Amino acid sequence: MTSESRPPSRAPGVVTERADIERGTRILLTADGTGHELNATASALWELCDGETSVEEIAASVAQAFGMPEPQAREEVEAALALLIEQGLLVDADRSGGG
Amino acid sequence: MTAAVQVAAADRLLAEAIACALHRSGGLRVLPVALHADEVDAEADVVVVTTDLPPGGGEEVCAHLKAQTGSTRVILLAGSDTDSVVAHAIESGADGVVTDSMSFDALEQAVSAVAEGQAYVPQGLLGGLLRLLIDRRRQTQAMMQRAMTLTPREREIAGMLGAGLDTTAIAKELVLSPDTVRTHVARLMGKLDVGTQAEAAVIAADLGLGAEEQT
Repeated sequence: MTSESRPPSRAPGVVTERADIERGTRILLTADGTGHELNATASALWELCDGETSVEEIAASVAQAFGMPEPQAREEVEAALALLIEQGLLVDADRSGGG
Repeated sequence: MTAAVQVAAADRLLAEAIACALHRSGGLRVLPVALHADEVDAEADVVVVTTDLPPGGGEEVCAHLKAQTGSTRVILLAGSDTDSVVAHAIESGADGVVTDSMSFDALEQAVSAVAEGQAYVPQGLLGGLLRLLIDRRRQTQAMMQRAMTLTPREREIAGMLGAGLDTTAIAKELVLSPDTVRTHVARLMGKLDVGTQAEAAVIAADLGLGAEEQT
């Protein structure tokens, strides 16, 4: 993912099976029925990936919410998003061949 | 080193109950409570402050402490657990936010996380909070784009509105006629796309407009 990359979006067919509002956690089901339990941060990041919100914007909000430097937030957000892409919960627009 | 913690709230009973519970949980040096912003101890490592602390509320204390010492960490005890309340707390510089609906355990966790230099945000509100921070950032950027179209004079006048001056005072300060100032104000309101002078003043203060001309 580079600064020019298009923002990731939630993978088609992924549904929330259960969400714990208080703890912020969530269980997602992929189209093939595989379940994934996300912690509060991963769940929040997954929700933010609407295909329009950029990685930079997400990283800036994380930096502000957690009082951390933006480069560090960017690194952590990118690592978390890469994992969600690997799990099939997000689609990386740059690799999906969508444009 | 044991962290020094102070509880600041308008309600003495609440402040003392929280201070007492924190003292019992151990590992902290709990300072006498503050019932007014003036009583907040700048030597405290962590201040737990309610949003209703007189005179200006917890967010004001938070912003003041951040500007003054920079080293005091602040946990805001918010009365309601909505994304916007938490976002406002974060924007005032709070290192942690705990809401009324959360347990004392959550407050203990927040104090220990914040004392160690981490941030504490209610987990269940994280998604909504990040979305709100992103939206606000977008709004600020859009407003900054609009502010770029102001002339130096309009920026200066916007800054004076932001500092609380009215048309007459601005006219006097800049040695202009009130009608000329009113024309500038009308133009800058149009450029900022706001309907009232008060809105323009808030935006000018938020963006720090006019500050560059005064330095």
